[in-house]
This record gives sequence, structure tokens and C-alpha cells, in this order.
Amino acid sequence: MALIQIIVNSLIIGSLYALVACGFSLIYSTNKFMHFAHGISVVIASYLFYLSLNTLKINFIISILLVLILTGLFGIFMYKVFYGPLQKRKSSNIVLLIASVGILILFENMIMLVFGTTVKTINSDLTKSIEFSSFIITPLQIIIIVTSLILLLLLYLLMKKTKIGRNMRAVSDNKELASIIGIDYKKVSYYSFFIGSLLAGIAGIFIALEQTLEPTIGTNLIVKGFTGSIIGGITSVPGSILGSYILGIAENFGIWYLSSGYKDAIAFTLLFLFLLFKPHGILGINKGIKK
Amino acid sequence: MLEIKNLHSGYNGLEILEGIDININEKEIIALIGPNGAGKSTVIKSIFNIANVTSGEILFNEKNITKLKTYELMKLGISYVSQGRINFNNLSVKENLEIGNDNIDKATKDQRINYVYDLFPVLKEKKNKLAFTLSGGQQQMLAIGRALIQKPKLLLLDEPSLGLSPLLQKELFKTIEKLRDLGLTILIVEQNAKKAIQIADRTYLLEDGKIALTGGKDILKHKKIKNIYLGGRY
Repeated sequence: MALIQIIVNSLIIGSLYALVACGFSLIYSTNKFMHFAHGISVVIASYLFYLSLNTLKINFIISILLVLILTGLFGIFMYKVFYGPLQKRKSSNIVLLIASVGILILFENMIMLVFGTTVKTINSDLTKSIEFSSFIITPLQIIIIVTSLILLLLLYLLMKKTKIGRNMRAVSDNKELASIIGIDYKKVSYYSFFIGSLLAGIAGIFIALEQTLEPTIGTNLIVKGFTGSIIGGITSVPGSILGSYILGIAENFGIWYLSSGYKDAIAFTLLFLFLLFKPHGILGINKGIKK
Repeated sequence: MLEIKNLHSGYNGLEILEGIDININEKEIIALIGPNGAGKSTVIKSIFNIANVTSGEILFNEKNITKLKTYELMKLGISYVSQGRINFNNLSVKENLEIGNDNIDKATKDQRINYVYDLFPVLKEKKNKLAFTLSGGQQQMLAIGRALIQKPKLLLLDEPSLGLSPLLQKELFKTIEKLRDLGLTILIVEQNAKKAIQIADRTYLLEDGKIALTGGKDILKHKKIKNIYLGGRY
């Protein structure tokens, strides 16, 4: 009984981590720097959703579409305003990483300034529990699992079957060669930031509905998304998805046997172990050759 | 076809080429040889606008192309195969051929990909394999194949035999001759000087950023070449 409930819970949280991680990994693999400010895209999306739905009373579906487009554009904005000029000055990836943490803190504080620090909630009919014989789930949680799986499949198809996906993989593989053969890698960066941030936006909307809104949720989520990416292999989008579900499972089994206070400790232990013994992750690329 | 006049070029303020002149006629193989650090690759990189040209000019069919962007050069019919990591390792052979060349419509591109498959049948056999699974020689074929999709008039090859076994080198040089016979003009930078001189119509020897010697196949007998490549000064 408990086992099924743990697996269901793992799938729910794993899906949210995966939405964050795959965008993070997509941006990392095409741009080769850690975009820790990715977490703020989740927060921006959840607050915009709150603003649109609760304050402006805009229709549910339109709110979702609006938020996703705005979050995607916010990703491009971050690249254009912060990272682009730094890259132009040939800043190292460490500088970009520090900048990304700065951006995360800056926007976290700006959200606190605009929306205040009080916890906000969105009431929804989707959060009424349905009881099955061996587990409990809400309609929203079913939507989270199903939508995430569909989106992750769509992302896979985008990467494998479309020209822009192929160009993204090419830039990720060999940026210099990509530019020699005339691929506009700036455009590829814009696409990766738009798509990555949009996926984070979807996670933001789900979190706004499923949990409560706090300006600091982004930091926690990007740490988990990053952990998922490392477990699965940061250069591999499918790997980061796999890693996120593994993290979800590990956390949920861990809190069943220990207590919920150990959730983050479990994640960090996993992160530590992978960084130490398998830094390229499960599906990652090792020295240019896929294992 | 290509005329390089008094070219000074280098990287980040460091001058490598100190005024060189090179002429390439249509349907010729021109070899560029010389010791390490002489600036051979810099010549090709200057043509393809990857190195910094400080003075002098490069004319392609009498048009000055010195400051043109790489994609503009490709449109004009100049393709470049770099040395080192020359393919997208984690893309399939077919994807490696399809990628880039966005100015070509799909039907033409498919036709040219088939042409490359005819030229290098092994690539057709392995079209769905990831590029990193290919052998060194096949990797070279793939890189040249990708350059051919653009249907270039001038092909720039930067040390294509690097890291290949003697047998594969032989095959590669045969292919290069075949491409010339099909009507292509080729500028090849090579470490394997003997082989390069043998297939080239004319050879330029580069030393310390200057042209030290130029000539046809008989250049092999020249004292300078013997000195450099048969255990002389270097």
C-alpha cells in the first residue's frame, strides 16, 4: 500500500524536478555555463500566474498561455541583458555562474518587493483528493504527471526531429564547427533560453496550484533540478529527466524511512556521491564519447 | 581563381604571416607545406576569415573577399574542412551532412547527399550511426562530404591526413585527386609533404610566415625540401 503511494509521490515531485532540470540542462548544453537563475523563471511564472488569475481575474487557460509566453521571453531577456554582454567581453564561465546566482537573488528580492513576503495560495478545484484502494492522488497531480511526460516527450521529438533541435545539438556538440558551417549560435542560445524557461514556467504554474507561493521556492527547485541534471548527466536532456525522477524516488523513499526533515539531506548526499564518483552522470558524455 | 596578395595575418595582435602571395588557378590542387608554426593553417584561416587579416588582400574570381563573413564565403563557393574535431560527434552521419547549408533547398540537398554517398559508399552504409563511431578515415570523408554539400568551387583542407594510418592516408589522397578530376579546386595544408607534393599541381613551402619556395612536382628534389623533411635543419 505504502509502496504505491511512495511511487506516486515520487512521480509527482520527479515530474516537477524534471521540468526544471531539462530546461537547465538544455541551456547548459547549448551555452556551456550554469544558469542558476533558471530557478527564478519558476518563481516568476508562479507569481505571474497568481497575478493573472487571482488579481486580474483573467481566464484560467488564457492565464496559462500568457504566463508561459512571458516566462519564455523572460529567459531571452536574461540572456540578452546579463549573459550576452558578459560573453561579449569574453567572461569566463565562472563569471557567468556567479552572475547567474546574482540574477537569482536580484529577482527573488524584486518579487518580495512587489508581492511581499507573505505566503500566497491559489484555490483550485483540482486539488480535491481522489482515493483509490492503495493510494490518494488529486486531479492536479495526475495532470502534473501526464503533462510532464507528454512535454518531455515533445522536447525529445523537438531535439531529435526538427532543424532547430538538430542545430541545438550541434552547437552543444561543437560550437566552433557549428559557427564555421554557418549556424547562428546566438539564435540557438535564444531558442534554448526560451524553451528552457517556458518549461520552467510550466513547473511554476504547477507549483502555484499544488503548493504555496514563496519568493524563495526558486532556489530550492534549481538546486533540485541541478541535482537531477548531475545524476542523469548534465549534458544530456534525457539524462537530466531520468536523474530528476531518480531524485524524486530517493527523496520519497528516504522520508518514508527517515523523516521529511531529511529530504534535502538525501538530495545533497546523492549530489555529493555523483559528483565524487560519477561526475558525468548516468547518460552524460565522458571525454567526448558517449559511454 | 584565388589570389592572395601581400597578406599579413595572425591572431590577437600576433603576426604569423608576414606578407605572402599565393595564386590558385581553377581545377588545381595547391599544396601548402612547411614546418610546424610556419603559418600554414593561418593561410587557410585567413581565407575563411577566422584569423585576423591585418593587411593585404584576398581575391576570389577577382572579387575582394578579405572581410567577408564565413557564410558569405560559403555562398560564393568556398568550403573549409578544419583540422582536429571536424564532425558533430553525437549527431548521425546523415545529420552531419544535412546540417548547415541552409541556403540550399531540401531536394537539392538530398541530391547532393546522394552524390556524397556515391563518392563515399561507406557513409551511406553508416548513415544512421553517430559520427564518433566512425574510423579516422571515415570521419575525414564525412567532413569532406559535408563541405561538398555546398557544391564548392574551392575546397580548403587543413591537414586532412592528421592521425590517419598510412593506408588511410593513401586512400584520402586518392580521393582528393578524384575531387580535382571532378572539377574542384583544392588548397591543401599538409604535414605529409611528400604525398602532398605528389598529388599537387603546384606547391608552396612556407617558412616563418613567408613563402620560401614554390614549384611543381620537381620541388621534391630541391635541397630545401630535402633538408626539412629528410632530417636537415629541423
